[in-house]
Amino acid sequence: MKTSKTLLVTRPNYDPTTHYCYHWSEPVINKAKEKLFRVLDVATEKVTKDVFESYLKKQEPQFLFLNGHGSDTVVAGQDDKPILEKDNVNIIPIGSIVYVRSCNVGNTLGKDFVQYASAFIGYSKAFGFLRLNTSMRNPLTDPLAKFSFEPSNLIVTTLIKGKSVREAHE
Amino acid sequence: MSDRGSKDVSTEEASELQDKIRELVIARIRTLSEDVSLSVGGEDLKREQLIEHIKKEDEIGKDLIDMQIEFLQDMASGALYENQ
Repeated sequence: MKTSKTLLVTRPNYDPTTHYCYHWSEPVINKAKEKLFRVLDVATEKVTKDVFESYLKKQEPQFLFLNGHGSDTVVAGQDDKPILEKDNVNIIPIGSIVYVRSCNVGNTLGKDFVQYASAFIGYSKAFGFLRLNTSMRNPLTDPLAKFSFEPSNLIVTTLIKGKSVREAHE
Repeated sequence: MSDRGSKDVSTEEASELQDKIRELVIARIRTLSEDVSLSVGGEDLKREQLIEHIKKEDEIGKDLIDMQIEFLQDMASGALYENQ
């Protein structure tokens, strides 16, 4: 079933980077719900290749927002295990929009995504952010991390509001 | 002065400039509180570790230098304030 108002979010949580991405995805999830999107929140231990593939096959979400570590060749899930790589890009729903908040996926792997997705946004370099060690328990209150995550979140929330991928990227 | 001489001077100048840029970036990083870390990729770096990467000019160090210089250039050109 193709569902145009469905957002799939992956958010592993097992180290400081993924912990921050996990929490900073919450404002996006809330905004999507506010805009009456169905949100498939695939979090922590659920972020495995099997679960991810199952959601894509059964639900065919038209918006994918993937968080976690990445490289030129892999998007990782929980505990750094691959969930999306060259050999399973064909599970990306046709015509979907994919945004990956991971290092380097924009270099080469992202180009494979657009064989199936209508658009892809990702980082061709490392995704990094400054943070306060004292905010680890509550990353959403970290005034430094906010400078990286708010603009990054804006990409998805702009798409959710119905703007074009070009506008979201800008 | 021969062409070769000019080339040597410009290489020397470029290297001197690169040293100054590195010093500038290190000085900016030193102003960060000790409570600050940079999470990048699978690494989690404290202030002194950032400075080490910059001194070594490895991949992370180069990215940090590029990031700081881009920020300063945008500030000087006004690009940073365009959307305010």
